[in-house]
This record gives sequence, structure tokens and C-alpha cells, in this order.
Amino acid sequence: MSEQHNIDQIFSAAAKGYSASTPSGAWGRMDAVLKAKRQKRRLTIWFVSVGLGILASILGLWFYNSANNHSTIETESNIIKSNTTNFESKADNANNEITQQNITNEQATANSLNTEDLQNSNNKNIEEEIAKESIIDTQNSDIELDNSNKENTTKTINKEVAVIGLSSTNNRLPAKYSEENNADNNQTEEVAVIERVNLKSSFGIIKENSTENNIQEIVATNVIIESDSISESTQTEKTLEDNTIIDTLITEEAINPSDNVSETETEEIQKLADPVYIPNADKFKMGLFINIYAGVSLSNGASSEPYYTNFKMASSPQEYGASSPNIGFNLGFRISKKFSVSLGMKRYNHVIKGDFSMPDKRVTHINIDKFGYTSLGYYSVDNINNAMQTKNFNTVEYLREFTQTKVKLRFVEIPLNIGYNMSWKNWTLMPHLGFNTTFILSNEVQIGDDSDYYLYGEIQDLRQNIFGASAGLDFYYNTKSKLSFGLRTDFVYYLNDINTSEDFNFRPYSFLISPQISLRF
Amino acid sequence: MKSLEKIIVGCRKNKAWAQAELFEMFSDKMFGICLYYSSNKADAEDLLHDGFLKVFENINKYKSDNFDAWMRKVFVNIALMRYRKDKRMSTVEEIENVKGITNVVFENTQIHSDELLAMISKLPAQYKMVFNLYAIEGYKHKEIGEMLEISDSTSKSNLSRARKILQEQLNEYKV
Repeated sequence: MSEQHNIDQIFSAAAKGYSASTPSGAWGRMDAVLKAKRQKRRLTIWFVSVGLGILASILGLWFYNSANNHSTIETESNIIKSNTTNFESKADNANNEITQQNITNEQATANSLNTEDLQNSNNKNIEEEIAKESIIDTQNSDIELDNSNKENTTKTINKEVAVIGLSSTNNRLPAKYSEENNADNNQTEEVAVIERVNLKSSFGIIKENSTENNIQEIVATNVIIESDSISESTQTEKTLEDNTIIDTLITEEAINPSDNVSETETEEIQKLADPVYIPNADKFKMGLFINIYAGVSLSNGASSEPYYTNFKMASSPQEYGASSPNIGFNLGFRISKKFSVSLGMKRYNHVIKGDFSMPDKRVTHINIDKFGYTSLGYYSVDNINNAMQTKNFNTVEYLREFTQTKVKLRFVEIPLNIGYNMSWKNWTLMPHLGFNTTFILSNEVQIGDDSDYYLYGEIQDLRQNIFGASAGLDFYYNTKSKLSFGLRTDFVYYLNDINTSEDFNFRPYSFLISPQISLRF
Repeated sequence: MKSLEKIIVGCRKNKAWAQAELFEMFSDKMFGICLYYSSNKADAEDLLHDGFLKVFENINKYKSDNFDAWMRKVFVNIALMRYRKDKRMSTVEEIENVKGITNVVFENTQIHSDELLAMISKLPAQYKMVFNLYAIEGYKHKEIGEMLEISDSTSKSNLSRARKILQEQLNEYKV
């Protein structure tokens, strides 16, 4: 038993104190795996951050849109329902032969309204029906409305449209229709008037697709009867023949909404009619926008001799800035006519290049813990032993082969900006100021010769995050759709030193220039 | 060279310099453990690699005071996992070209630790695992049985046979 115990003790003592020299290359293999893991981790953090940002943007937009659309949809639904009922009822009761005779094909359907109905409903239904069947014609352009006595004119929409106007006999009627109506039915007082007019109105131009009672878009709003613009019936007929789509315009005066339609109803209709409806011309409509940009960041690189100079290692005294790609996005909110705020995320590297030099007779030992310095601070080099084993160089001779250093600080930045919009025609100029929070994901020092980098290390004692102030200028070309294309410039000056070391002070700044796409909601 | 505490903090932050320091500090010792639990040098290198990766991955879990013992436990666990996964360890290869740095005195005879390692490496895989876990790591037969998925009695008999083989080898060495 004691012999067995003795054997256990012998081997236990030998094993616990046993160590063997690690095979060469073991660390190199390990380092490669660790580097890949670090890289994967960085990528994961980056993609998750970007993913969350995009998700937040999408959710934000979705909530914003659904909140906006909710009331509109309800109103639209009610109007469609009532419109359909009215139309069905009117179709059943339609006995106006004049209408059937004179307004044919596609144009007729929407406007084949019973005069009696129109009268009985005190023009209110007329307005609703026409409005409901109407589509704002945003495609026709270059027609100027010269009806200068319209009170609600707030902006100019140049359009040329054909108009079917509905009015009572109190209005001026084309003789042809009036005569025919009187001949067939003394009570018939409705007439379809088609006219080419010039419009200038904020609510303006409503196009009626009367081929089918298929309401593509409910946009009835400030419907205006152009009572003064009724033209000759011959012209009317010609227009009817020429135009498969008839735009309807009825003046407020003609239908006299103040008598029959409440202000609230009128406003509701106005909202539906114009996607950019402005109840009060001075009131700004809030909205979201998202900017996505990718470009180049230029960074500074200032050289500074360390105060602490009694270390004897390689050094990198001459440094200069370099460029690196950047990518980012901003989610913005227009808070007034002129101002907008935005919050975003930007990813870029702050790159500093340097001339590597190893002072003669100063290198007495190599300490990978504090191998050299840049203006950011000391750096260590992990794989120097490995590299030297591979190259079989004398340490000093080996290091003298190298001439260049590169420091790469990986930044993720959260910029908060306020912008001032200045628009001219389709162009927008937006100076902006901001405050940035920057997270330093990692850093890497690379040392090598003209062709490649061989040694890899890290700057020590860097801060986890720094803050910066930014100023820039964006300009866009706004297309007719919701997209804008432009250029973004941004200068960021950081308010903290990037390093915690007392021996080095480095306060970076960067200039970003990048093409940008903006999507407005 | 920085203190172990600082290096551990660095490793927890995934700092490359700290990982390099830790590797440099413990690699020789851990490689010794790996050799005890491996049948050849290549396996020991693989074990060293996997062991350090495990250490770097799990260093946040380290809370005790004895980092050396914690690392050793991690390496032994990795060796056990490899053993269970790969039963081919029964093939005994002599470990060569390994230079140890300790000597043990046996009955007034100084035995180089490399000789002892060579003796252990000649044991059949299961005997070696049982002997290492019992004699070196201090586990009980019940624990060893659970670790190696064998019964307590098998563990006892394996230990007994391992001791016998080692005793014979020691006697031969003495002669």
C-alpha cells in the first residue's frame, strides 16, 4: 500500500511541477484564431448595431405612417361607402335623358347626375360625388390657373385640364344643354360643362375618371366651380371627345358650401384631396426622413514627441492623416418649416500613417509591452517574436527593414444633428450642427515596409468613448418622388483626448465627404 | 511584464496584448499538463491550443484566487472531453523531443521528469487517464467513473494496473 502511495506521490510531484517549452509557432496559430474571432466579434457588433438602427428606423416610420393613415383611412372608407350608395341610388333613378345623350362613354358615368337629386341635396351631394370620383391630377402640368379671385390660392399648380362643371340653372349654362334639358324635362337644370381652363389653386385640379365607378383615390377637397369659365358648348364637345379623362372643377361659390357643408366637413374633404394639405398655409407639416451615405473620411495625424523619452525602443515620430471609407445613416424629423433634427450612426476608421524609424544605438531591448509610440501613446506588438522567428533576422536588423506604421482606430459614431433647410426650386441646402458620441471599437498598429505590414500591435490606454462637435453642409436635389440625392460634408472635432496616458495628447478630428440619398416620408 | 491581475483584466476585455502575455506566462506549464494527458506531442499541441482558447473564452467566469489551479482545471477538462470524444488514445506513441525542467528523487535515484512522463505516456489510454486523475489531480474513484463514463470498480482496477506497470518501469529504471 505504501509502495503504491509512493508511486502516486512520485508522479504527482513530477507532474505538478512539470513544464515543457512550448513549440514554436504555437502562439502564431493561436493568434491567428484569436484575430479571426476578434474580427468576427467586431463585424457582429457592427452588423447588429446597423441592423438595430435600420429596424428602429423602419419601426419608427411604420408607426408614424400608421398613426397618420388611420384617420385618413376611416374618413376615406366612410366617403367611399356613402359615395357608392349615392351613385347606386342615382343610377337607379336616373331619368335625365339629356345627360345620357350628351355625356357619353367614360365621361358620362360620373357626371350623369340627376338634376333633381342634385337640387334636392342642395348641391352638397354633387360636391361629394364629384369630389369622391376625383383624382388629383398631378401629372398634367404647365397650366396656369388664372382665376385670381380664388381666396384659397396658396401655391401655384400649373395645369391644363378639362373640366366638367355642374351647376344649376342659375348659373350660366351652355345653350345647347339648357335647351335640350328644357325640351325634355323642364325641371332639368343640370348641365355638364367641359372647358379648358387655366388653374391656379392650392387645392386645385381634380381629375375625374368617370369610365368606371372605381375610385382610385379619394381626393375631393376644396372643389371649386369655375363659374366664370364656362365656354362654348362646341368647345365643350370637342374637349369631351378629345379627353378620355375629364377633370372636374367646381367652384366653392357655385356650390356654396358655406350654406350646406360644415367647416369641419370641408376641412376633412380638403385633407383627403391634397396629400400635402395645409389647413393653414403657415402651419408646417411634420415628417420623417432618412439619409443614407457612404464616402470618405479624412483624418488628422499630428506628431508629438512623448514627454517620457527614456525608453529605448523603436519609434514613429512622423505621422500624418489618411483617408478611410465611411458609411452611415441619419433618421431625421422635420420639426418646423426650416429646422430638422436627426439621430444616426456612422462607422469609419480613423487612420494615421507614420514613418517608422528605429534610432541607432537607442534600441537596447525589445519589449512587446511598450514597443514603440505614436502621438496616441505607446503601442505593443504581439507577433514580433513570431515574425523574427520566421524571418530569422537579428532583432535590430529585422526592425530596420521596416519604414512605415499605420494606426487604425475603429470608430462607431452616434451623431445628433440639427439642420436648417434652405430650399430653392428643387435644391435644398442644409447647414447642420451636431454633437457626436464616438465609441472606439478597437485599434490596431501595423508596422511594415513599402509593400506590406508584418507586425501587429495595439495602442495602449485608449478611452472607450469620446465626444465630438460637428458642423457640416448638405445639399440635395429633390426629385418629384420622395427621393433626394445629394452630397454630405461633415467636420467633427473631438472634445476629448483619445488616450488616457499622461505622456501623450492626441485629439483627433475628421472631415467626411460622401454622396447621400435621402428618403422623405 | 504586467501583473497577472492586469493581464486577466485585459483578457476579459479581449485585448490582444493581454492574451499574448497570458500565453507567454502559462504556456510552458500548461504544455506540461497537455503532455501528461496526450499520447504524443502533436496531440499535446492541439490540447494546448484548445485549452488556451477555452481559457480566453471563459476567463470572465474565473472568480477564485488561484488562477493557476483554475487554468489547470480547464485544461484537464478539455483533455477529458477529447478523451471521451476520441478513443483512439489507446495508441501509445512515445513522446520525444520534449525537454522538461524538473527532476524527482525515487529511492535515492534522481529521475528526470521526462522519464516519468515517458513512463506515463506508455500506459494504455484509460489507465493513464485514471492514474492522472487520481494520483495527480486528486479525484475520487466515483468522480473519475463519472468523468470517464466507467464504473467505480473499473476505475479502481485501472488504477491498480497502472500503478503496477509504473512500478515495474521504475524498478527497471532503478536497475
